[in-house]
Amino acid sequence: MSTPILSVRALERRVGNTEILRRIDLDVMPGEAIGVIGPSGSGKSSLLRCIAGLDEVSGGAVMVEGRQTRPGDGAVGMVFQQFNLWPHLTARENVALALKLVRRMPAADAAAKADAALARVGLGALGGRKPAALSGGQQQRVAIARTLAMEPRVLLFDEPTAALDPELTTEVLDVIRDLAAAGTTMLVVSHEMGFVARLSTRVVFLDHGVVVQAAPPAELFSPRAEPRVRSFLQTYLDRVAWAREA
Amino acid sequence: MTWDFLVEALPSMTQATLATIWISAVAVAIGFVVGVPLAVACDGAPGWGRRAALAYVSFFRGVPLLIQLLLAYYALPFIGIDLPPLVAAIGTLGLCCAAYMAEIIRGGFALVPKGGLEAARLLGLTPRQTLLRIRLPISAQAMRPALISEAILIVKASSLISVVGILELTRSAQALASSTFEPLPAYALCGAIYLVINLALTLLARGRVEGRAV
Repeated sequence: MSTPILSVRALERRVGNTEILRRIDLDVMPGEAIGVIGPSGSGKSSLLRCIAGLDEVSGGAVMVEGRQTRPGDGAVGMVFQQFNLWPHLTARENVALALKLVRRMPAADAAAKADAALARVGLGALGGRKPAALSGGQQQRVAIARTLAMEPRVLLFDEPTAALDPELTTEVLDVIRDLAAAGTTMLVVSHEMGFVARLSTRVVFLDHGVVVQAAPPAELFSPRAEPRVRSFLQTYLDRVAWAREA
Repeated sequence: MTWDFLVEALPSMTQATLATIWISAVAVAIGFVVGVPLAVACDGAPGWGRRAALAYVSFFRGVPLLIQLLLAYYALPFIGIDLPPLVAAIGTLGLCCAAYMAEIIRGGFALVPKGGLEAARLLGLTPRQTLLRIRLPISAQAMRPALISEAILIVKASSLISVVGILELTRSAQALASSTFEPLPAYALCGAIYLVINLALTLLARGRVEGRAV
């Protein structure tokens, strides 16, 4: 098999006496979609933020294509739960700004590339709108386009639909699924278990900052999974049980 | 107020009005340009930069502007810095304005969601680009009323630089009062002009806010 595009080696993060992440090891191959699940406070978001370089690590290393990453070096792109769009700029300007300032593209080229990225997430016609004039799902898709336009090697999604209602969730998940189908390497933290099961090549279950199990979804979402994983998933299944009976 | 008085007053007071306007404008510009990095330093990582910025703000906010002007006028030449009085006066006014603006700008920055700054950092924007393209524009709307208030305060505070002999509105009104022996109309006119300048400033700010409504 080919070499990993992302390597997480013995990653540790401590805040005071609290261990947030404890010696996490993870190799991600090009084109893989890794689902990251686990209870709240298990370190899922911290793992993504450490990979992105937004949170300081206490030990270990994060390498993309063999190089240690720094925030802003373009190796890693991240989509946040709260979208984090810039409210004073239109959708097109949100996407084009880093192309102009970081990639030093001429304004016209940056705008054209921004429009192409917006079209890819189904928002070709809404480039002139400011975030306040877009629905939550549209805002999140603009945020995805903004990250995509910079062509990161690895894309991180930190609970991208947690702030959205079920209908808007679907439109965002569809975009993420299309990206995965196109071979984008990604890590997705989500509580949308059905989505994670169908999207992921592998699923990582975190609890108390430790990888309890990392396995293909068919294995992890099965009775053969680790007991801790099963008890977590059981609570989820109990909640959606009515749907199967209907 | 007689016709003769107005004929006598018009040339000098017109010139003095223009002087007050441009002196205030330069001081406010200095205040903003110095205030932004000051605000960044005050909020920055602990260290000598932050301490220096906080000391700066404490000094310029804690010492009366009149005393600052007198210090600049009398003390700077004493330590070998020989500035023309006008430069020393505008500089002092501007640096004092910066201390107040820094506090306003800090307040504005606190309203910028952290997530937007994290997105900028990950996309590779430099701290400077983030400041100019993200933090300032996002907080501008919120800071504008307080910044306009500060500009109005500076227009009024510029009357203090009359003590170092600069012919702005207040100094010219004093001269007019003594040359015409009519202090009341001289100071009434002077006060009215300050009022008009500041009302115009208020209207300008308001018109701009509405013109740019999202």
